[in-house]
Amino acid sequence: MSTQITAPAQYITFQLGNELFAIDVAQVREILELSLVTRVPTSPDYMRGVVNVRSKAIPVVDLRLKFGLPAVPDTLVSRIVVMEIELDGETCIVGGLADSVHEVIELEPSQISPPPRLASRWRTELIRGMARRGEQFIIILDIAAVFSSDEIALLKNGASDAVIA
Amino acid sequence: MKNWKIGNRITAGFAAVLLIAATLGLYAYAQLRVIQRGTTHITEDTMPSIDVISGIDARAREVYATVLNHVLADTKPEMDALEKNLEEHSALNTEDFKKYDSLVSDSRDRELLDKAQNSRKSYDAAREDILTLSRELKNKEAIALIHSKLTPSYRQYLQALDDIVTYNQKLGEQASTAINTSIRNSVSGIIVGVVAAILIGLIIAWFITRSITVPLASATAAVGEVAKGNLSTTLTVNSRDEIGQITASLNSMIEGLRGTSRVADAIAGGDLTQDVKLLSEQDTLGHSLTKMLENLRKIVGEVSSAANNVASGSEQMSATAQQLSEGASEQAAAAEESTSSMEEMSASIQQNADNAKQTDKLAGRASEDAKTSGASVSQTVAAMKEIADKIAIIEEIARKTDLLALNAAVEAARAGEHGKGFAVVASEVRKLAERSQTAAADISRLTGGGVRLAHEAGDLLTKLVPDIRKTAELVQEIAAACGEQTTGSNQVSKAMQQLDQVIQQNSSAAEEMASTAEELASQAQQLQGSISFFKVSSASAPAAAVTPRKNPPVKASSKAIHAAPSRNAKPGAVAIALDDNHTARGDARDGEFQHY
Repeated sequence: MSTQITAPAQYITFQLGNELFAIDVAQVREILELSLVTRVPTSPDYMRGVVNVRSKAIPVVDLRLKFGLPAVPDTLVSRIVVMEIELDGETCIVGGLADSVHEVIELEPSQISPPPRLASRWRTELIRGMARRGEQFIIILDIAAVFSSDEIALLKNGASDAVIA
Repeated sequence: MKNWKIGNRITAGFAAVLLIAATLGLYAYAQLRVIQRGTTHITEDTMPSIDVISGIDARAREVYATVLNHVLADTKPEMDALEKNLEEHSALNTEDFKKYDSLVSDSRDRELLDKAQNSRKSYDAAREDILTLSRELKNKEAIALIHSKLTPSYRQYLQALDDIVTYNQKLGEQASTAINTSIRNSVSGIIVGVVAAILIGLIIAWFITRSITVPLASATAAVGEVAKGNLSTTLTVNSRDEIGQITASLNSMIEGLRGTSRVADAIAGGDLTQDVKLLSEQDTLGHSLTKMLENLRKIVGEVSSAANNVASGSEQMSATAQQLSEGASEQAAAAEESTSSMEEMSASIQQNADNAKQTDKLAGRASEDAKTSGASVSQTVAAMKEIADKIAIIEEIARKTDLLALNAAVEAARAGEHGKGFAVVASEVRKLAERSQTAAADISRLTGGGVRLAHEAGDLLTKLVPDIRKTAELVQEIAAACGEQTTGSNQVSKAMQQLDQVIQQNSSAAEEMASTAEELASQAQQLQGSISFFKVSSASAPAAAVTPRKNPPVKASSKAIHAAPSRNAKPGAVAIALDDNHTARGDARDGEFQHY
């Protein structure tokens, strides 16, 4: 269970399948085009591999696979959201592959409702809340919860391996 | 004689001539018998008598000579030989005398024969005496006996023989004289008989000929008159022979012909009620006349009804001709309309031809244009592809811009309060990039569709060219067809004009026909008048039978029954009645009509 949102904040929205997701922009470093992804051996299926960003290897997670959605081929608008995740006082850089990235929006706490308890498809502990924007719901993700410490470690290792490699 | 039959007459004449001939023949035969008797006497009696006596005479002389030789002979054999000779001669003479005995013709002859035989006996006696002396060679006594006895008896014997010959000669002369007389008599008798026979034959022939030729000549003259057609002649019958019979037959023939002629006269006068009296079953003329009369009755009836039919038919014809004329006028009007329509059609065909030519040109141009269009479309496709390529670049740029704007927005957000202005700019830039992207996508989609459409257009244009060519060819054919149609329509126009003329001719012909029909009607009436000249016993059946044919059968049955009396009542109409035969026929036909 993540913390309640009390202050207005800016979010970046991206799309996976038909669902629109949002992440706090403070956790996002930059957005990258999908360029060459180097696959890491023995990594889980959702681990897409690593990309080279300014001579730094950043692991890329396929968010579709991570969230249990079926894999789709990459498109021109497929983007990598480079995120900074605080874990145990350490900052990890992780890339998440999204179908497309939309925009940076500002949401008031009043616009955000707590996640529904009975949401079947999504584990509610990963969701900070649900925001309405027009007709559509935007699912605000707790990105730190998404990536567990194990995975981060794995990512770190993978990234360092990749860098070493 | 006059009433004798010709055969009897000829028989009598011939009998007379034959009687004369027979008398003549008998007379000649009698004379010939006399001649025959004379000649038979000469040949069978007188001549053989002379002959036999001459033989006896010769042998007597021989015997005399032999006796003398016997006297002269002095040997026995000589004497035997002479005696033998003597006996033979004597035997022959004895035979000859017997022969002559059968040839004796009368008492005088017999007397002379007896005398000769007696003298022979005395001679033979003297001879035997001498022979006896001679055998005893008493020649002197013998010779003395010869002189004294033999020679005188010998002379007497010869004289007797000579008398017989002379008498026979006399008999022969008598017979010859009788023959001559007979010949003379018969010659004169035959001449007289023949002359008489000729004269009598001529007279009889003349009479018979006259009795045949004179009445025949008058009959011939009468027949000639009849042959010329003159039936006023009547022959007088004044004999009962064949000529008389012929004359009587001729008279009855002339009488019969007069009767026939009277009937023919009556027929000529139009009276067909006459009855022909048949002279016999074989009266060909009578039969022919009867048939002629029957046929005339029938024909007159038929002609009468035909005239009626012609009259009514010609009236109908007149009406029909009138209708025909009206029809022809209507036809003429229709033909004129058709002609004007044809002219309009011709004009429209001409216009069609012009249009077709123009269409042909246009089609040619269209073909060219289509080719050009095809090329243009190809160029368009190329241009579109280029545009698509360029648009891809623009899209790329837009995407990059969008990404940059996003990153800028992220940076601005991270900058906090200081980055707010920048965040607005970044948002605007991102919106522009988004719009650019949308527009580029639209353009890309449009160009994609455009290329496809252009391709399709190109294909269609490529297909269009042969179609247009085909169209051009078809249009040319249409133009040619239009030409043909033009000539055809011209011909039709001409034909219509000719038709118009023909229709006008028809119209005038129909009018003529109408007047002709009227003429025909009047002539039929004239014919009815003419045919009424013939008087038939009463209304004849053929007319009654024919009349209903004009009308429908149903009405006919009643009309046919009423027709006859009404026709009888009309004085001007043909007097026709149903005689017995024809009534039956009419009834039979009525029966037929009642089937309806």
